[in-house]
Amino acid sequence: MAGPGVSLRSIAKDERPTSTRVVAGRLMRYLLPHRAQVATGMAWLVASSAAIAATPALTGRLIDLATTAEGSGDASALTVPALLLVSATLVGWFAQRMQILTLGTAGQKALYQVRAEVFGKVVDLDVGYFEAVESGDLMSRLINDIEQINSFLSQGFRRLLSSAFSLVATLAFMLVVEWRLALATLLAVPIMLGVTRLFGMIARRAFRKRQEAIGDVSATLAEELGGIKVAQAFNRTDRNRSEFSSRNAVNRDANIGAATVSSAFSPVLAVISTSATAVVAALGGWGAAQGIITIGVVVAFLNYARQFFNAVTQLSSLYSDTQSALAGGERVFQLLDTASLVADLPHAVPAVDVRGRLEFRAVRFAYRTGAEILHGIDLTVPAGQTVAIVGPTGAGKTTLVNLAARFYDPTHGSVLLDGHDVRSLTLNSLRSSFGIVLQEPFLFSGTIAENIRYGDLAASDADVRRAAELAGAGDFIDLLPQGLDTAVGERGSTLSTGQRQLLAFARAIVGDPAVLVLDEATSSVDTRTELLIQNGLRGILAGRTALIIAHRLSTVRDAHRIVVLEGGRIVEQGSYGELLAAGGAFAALHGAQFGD
Amino acid sequence: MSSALIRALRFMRAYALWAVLGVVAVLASAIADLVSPQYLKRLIDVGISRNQPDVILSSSLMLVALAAAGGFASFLQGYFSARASHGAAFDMRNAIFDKLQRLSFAYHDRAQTGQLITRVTSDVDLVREFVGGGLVQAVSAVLLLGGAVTLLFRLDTQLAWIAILVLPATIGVLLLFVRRLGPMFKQFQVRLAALNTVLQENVAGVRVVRAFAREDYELKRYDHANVELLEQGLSVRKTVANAFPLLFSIGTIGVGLVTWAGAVQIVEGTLTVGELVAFTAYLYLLLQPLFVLGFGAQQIARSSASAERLFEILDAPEDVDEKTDAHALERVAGLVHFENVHLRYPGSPSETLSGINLTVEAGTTVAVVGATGSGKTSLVNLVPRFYDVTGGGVFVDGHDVRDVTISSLRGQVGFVMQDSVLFSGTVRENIAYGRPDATDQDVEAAARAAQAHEFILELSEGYLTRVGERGVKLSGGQRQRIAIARALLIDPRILVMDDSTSSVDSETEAAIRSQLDRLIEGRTSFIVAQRLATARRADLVVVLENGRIADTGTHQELLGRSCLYAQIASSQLIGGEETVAPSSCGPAPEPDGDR
Repeated sequence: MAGPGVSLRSIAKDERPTSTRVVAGRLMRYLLPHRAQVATGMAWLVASSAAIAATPALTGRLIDLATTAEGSGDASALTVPALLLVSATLVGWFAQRMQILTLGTAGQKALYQVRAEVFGKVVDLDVGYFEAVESGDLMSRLINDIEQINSFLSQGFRRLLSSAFSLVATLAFMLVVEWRLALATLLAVPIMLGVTRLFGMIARRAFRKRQEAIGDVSATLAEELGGIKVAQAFNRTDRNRSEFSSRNAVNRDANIGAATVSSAFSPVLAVISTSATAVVAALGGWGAAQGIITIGVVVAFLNYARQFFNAVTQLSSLYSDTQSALAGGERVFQLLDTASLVADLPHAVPAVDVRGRLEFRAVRFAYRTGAEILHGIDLTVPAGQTVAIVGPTGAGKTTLVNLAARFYDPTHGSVLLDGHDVRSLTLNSLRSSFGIVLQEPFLFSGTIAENIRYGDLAASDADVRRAAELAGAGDFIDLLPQGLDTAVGERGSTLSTGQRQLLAFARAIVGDPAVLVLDEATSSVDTRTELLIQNGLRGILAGRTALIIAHRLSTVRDAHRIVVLEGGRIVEQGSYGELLAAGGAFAALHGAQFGD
Repeated sequence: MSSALIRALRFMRAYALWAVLGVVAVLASAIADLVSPQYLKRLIDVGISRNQPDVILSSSLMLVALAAAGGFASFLQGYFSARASHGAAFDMRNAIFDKLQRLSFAYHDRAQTGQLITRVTSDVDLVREFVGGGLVQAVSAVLLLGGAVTLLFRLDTQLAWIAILVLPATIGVLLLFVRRLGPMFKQFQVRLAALNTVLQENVAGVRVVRAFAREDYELKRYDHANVELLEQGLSVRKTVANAFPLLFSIGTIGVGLVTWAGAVQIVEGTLTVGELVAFTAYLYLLLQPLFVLGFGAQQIARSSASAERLFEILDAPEDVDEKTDAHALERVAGLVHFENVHLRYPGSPSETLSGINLTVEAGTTVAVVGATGSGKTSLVNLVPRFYDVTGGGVFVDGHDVRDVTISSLRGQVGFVMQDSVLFSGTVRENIAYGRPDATDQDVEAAARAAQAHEFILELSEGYLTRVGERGVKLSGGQRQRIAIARALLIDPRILVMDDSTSSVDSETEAAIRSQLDRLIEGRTSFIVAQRLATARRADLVVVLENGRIADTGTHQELLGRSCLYAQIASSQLIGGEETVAPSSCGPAPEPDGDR
C-alpha cells in the first residue's frame, strides 16, 4: 500500500539543484526567531513518532502472549500490553496535535515575515525595475512563489521532519526487535530511491511542458481581456475563440501527459514496497518455522514494513514538493536581493524649507536597456517660476521631469534642488516637496476623498474639497450620489479618463507642494474645463515652481518660459511671444496646431 | 455539496465514459487490496504456523502479483481520471472564454483582468480537482467502504462490531471539522485576496506611490492586511491541529482495541493469528476511504467557492445579446439616427445620456464636443452597440441596431478608441486585425492614410516588426496611428474617432487632420475631439452637457448662439477667429491671460 498524498506535482521546477541547499538555509533563517517554538514542536514530533513506532512492537507482544496462552482461556496477561497499546495511540494523538500546532504557528509567523520583506522590497525598488519586468508576470510570480513557500513552511517542512523522524524511529524499533529482518527491509530502499530519481527526470520534462502550456493560456487570456473591447469592435471574437481553444487544448494534453507520469509513480513504489514486505514475510515465516523468531515478531514486522515504506514514499514525494518550494524561494530571494537603483545615499539629508529652484546640469540619461534618451540637458528653473516643456512624442519630456523627482538617476550630469544634488537628499523629503500629476491617472481602490488625500494624509475634509474645486473636479463630484465618498475601482473605471485626470490633479495640489510637475495632466480633459483649471492654477502657481508638459499649446501660454525639446536636446527656449517671433521649432508646432 | 458544484458536474457529461472507467479501475485496485489480506492470512496460518515453505513462497508471490495488478489498476485510474477531469476543465475554460467574449463593455468596465485570469486558471483547476478527480475517488471510497464492512463481518462478527464503532466517531469528527474549516478557508481566501490587492496596487501604481513618497503609508496598509491574514492562518492551523490527528487516532485506537479483543479470542481459541492480521488489514482498508472522504469533504468546501465564482461569470446576463431573429445588415449608406436615447450604466444611480435626439445624414461628419464626463464617449459607443440604450433607440439606415446581427453591424463601423490597445504580433497583423486576409497594398494604404507609414518603415523590420508586450515599445502617438489604420482598413461605412489624437503631438495631429478629409470621404463620421480645429470642418457639431444635447449646428452657427460653445472656442483661441460670445451669455471664464 502506498502512503497518502504521493505526488510528483512539481518535482521538476528547479533546474539548479546546487543552489537548493543555500535557498533552504535561507528559508530556515525565517524560522530562527521562533526557534523556541520549533524546538518544542520537534520534541512533540519525536514523541509522536516514537509512540506510533512503538505500536507494532506492542501488537507483536500481544500476539505472542496470546499464542503462548492459546486455548488456555486466561487472557489476564494481555491487559497490560493492551492498555499500553491504547495509551501509545493516545500519546501519539496528543503529541501530533501539539506538533502541528507549534510548528504550524512558527511556519505561519515565518511566512508573515517573508511576505513583509517581499512587500518592503516592492516598495523600495526603483520605478525602472517595474518597467523592465512585465507587471502581470511579476504579480503572478510573487503570488505563486510565496504560495510555494507557504506550503513548505506550513506543511512541507513539518511533514518532512515528521517522515524523517518516523523513518528513524521505525528503523530503530525494527533493529531492536529483529535486526536481520530489518536489514532485509532496508534492501528495498536503494531501489525506491533509484525509481524516484528516474521518475524525477521523466516528470521534469512533462511538468515543464505543462507549466509552459498554462503560462501560455494565462498570457493569451491577459492579452485578450486587455483588448476585449477592440476584439468586439472588430468582430474578432470567433477567431479569438478558436485561437484560445487551440492553446487550451495544448494545455489539456500537457496536463494529461503529466498526470499519466505521476499516476505511474505511486503504484510503482507500492509494488516495490509490497515485494519487499513479501520478502520480509517469507523470510520471517521461514524463521518462525525454524523457531528462530516468534510469530508475534513476524506480525510486528509486517506492520513495521508498512510504516517504514509509508515514510519512504512520503519522503520521495516530499522531495519533489520541497524542490519546487525551494525554486519558488529562490525566485523570491532574487527579488529580495535586487538592489534599488534609486536609494537614499548613506549621508543623505532631508530637504528643508524647499524654495524650488531646479537645475539640470549636463544631464544625460538612458534606460536600463536602451539607447540614450537625453543628450546633455542644461536647464535652470528659478524658484517660483513656471517652465513649460513642449516637443514631439518621444522627445524625452517625461523622462526629463521624472529625473527631477528622482524616479531615475541620470547616467551623467546631475539634477539640483535649491543647489543640492537631489541624490544628497533623502528620497522621502525630496518627493514630498513635489506634487506630480502623471500621464496615466492611476487611482487606488477607495473613495474619491481617499484618493485625493493620498497627496497629503493630514489634509482636512475642507482641504480635500478645496483641492477638488481647484482641480475643476468639484462639478462632477457634486453630481455623484455620494459625492467625495463615492468609491472608485482599481483603475477608477467608472470614471472617464478626463475625470480621473482631474482627481489626479487634485491629489497633486492638496499637499501644497513646493514644486508642481504636470505631465500631460489635462490631455483628456475638455478645453473649457481646462481653462477653468488654468484660472485656478494661476493662484496655485504663484510663488511655486512648476514644470508643465503639454501637447496643447494653449495650455502653456502663461508659462514664464517655454522649452522646446527635440530628440533629447533643448532646441529652443524663451517666452511664448519670443518663440513665436523667432519663427523656429515652436512656431512650427504652433502653426500646426492653430493654423490650417 | 453546493448547487454550483452540482451544476459544474454537467461539464463531466461529455467525459462520463472516462469517469466510469476511472471508477472501474479504482474498484479493480480495491479488489486487489481486498484479496491480499486473505493471502497474508494463509501465509501466517498455513505457511508459518504449519511450517509449509511452499505455501509461504506461493502466498508471498501472490501478494506481489496482487500489488502489481492493483498498482496497474490505480495507474489506469489516474490516467482515466486525468482524461475526464482535464477534458472537463478544457470545456470549462472554453465556455468561460466564450462568455467573456460575448459579455458587453458594461461588464468589462467593471471586471478586473487579474481576477478573471484567476478564475480561468486556478478556479477551474479547483473545480476540476473535485469534479474530475475527487468525485471518482469519493464514489470509489463509498463502494470500498461497503466492501470492507461486508468482509469484516464475514471474517468475525464480534470484532466487526468493535471496528464499526470507529465509523460514527470518525464521521462525526469529519462533519464537525468540515463545517468549521470550510468557512475558515473561505475567510482565509478573502484575506489573502485583500493582501494581494495591496500588492497589485503597489505594482500597478508604483509611480504614484513613489511620487507622493507614500511608502510608509503603504507598508502600514500592507502590514495590517498581513497581520489579519496571519491571524486567520493561525486559527486555520489550530482547527487542523485539533481535527486531523484526532481523525487518525480514532482509527488507530480502533485498531488497538480490535487487536486486544482479537488477542483475547486467540487465547480463547476462537481466532487464529492469521485471521487477526487479516482483520486489521481490512480495518485499514476501512479507514482509508474514510480519510479519502475526509479530504474530499475539505475539497468540496474549497471547490464550491470556486464553482460559485465560475458561474458568476457564466450566469452574467448578456445585456448586449443578439436576437434570435436578428438579420444581417446589408452594406449601409450610413444614416445614423438617435431617437430619444437614454443610457444608464448598471450600478450607476443617474443617467449618463438623457433624451438624445439626433440625426446624422449619410456621408456627413459630426463632431461631438462637451465637458469632461458629459457623455461624448458614451454617445458614440452606442453606434456599434457596445452598450444597449436603456430607453429609446439607435437606428442605422432605419434599422434598430438591436434588430441586426452584431457582426454585420460592427463590420461596418470603424472605431478608434481613446486607449490604443495593440496586440502582441507584428505591425501588419495589428493593422489587419479586423481583416486578417487584407493584402499588403491595402495594409500600406491604410497606414499611409493614418500617417503611420513613415514611422513604420523606420522600425527595424518595417511592417513585420513585433509590437505589444514582448515587442518594440511604441509611443502613445505611434500606437494611436496604428489604431487609426486598423479602423480604416475595414473600409467602414461609419467611422468613429473617440478623442483619438489626444496623445499625439500637434504636428502629427495636424498631419492626420490634413488627411482627415480623405479618410472620412464618403463615410459617416463621428469625431469626439477636445480641439475645435476639427469641429470647425464638421458638417454638424453636437454640444453635450450633462448627458443632454445642449445645442447642435455648424461651427459658425454655434459660435453665434451657444454660450457654452463660444466658451469652448474661446478657451482654445482658434487662430484669427472672431470668438466673441453672444451678448446674452453670462460672464465666461476668463479666456486669455496674455502677459
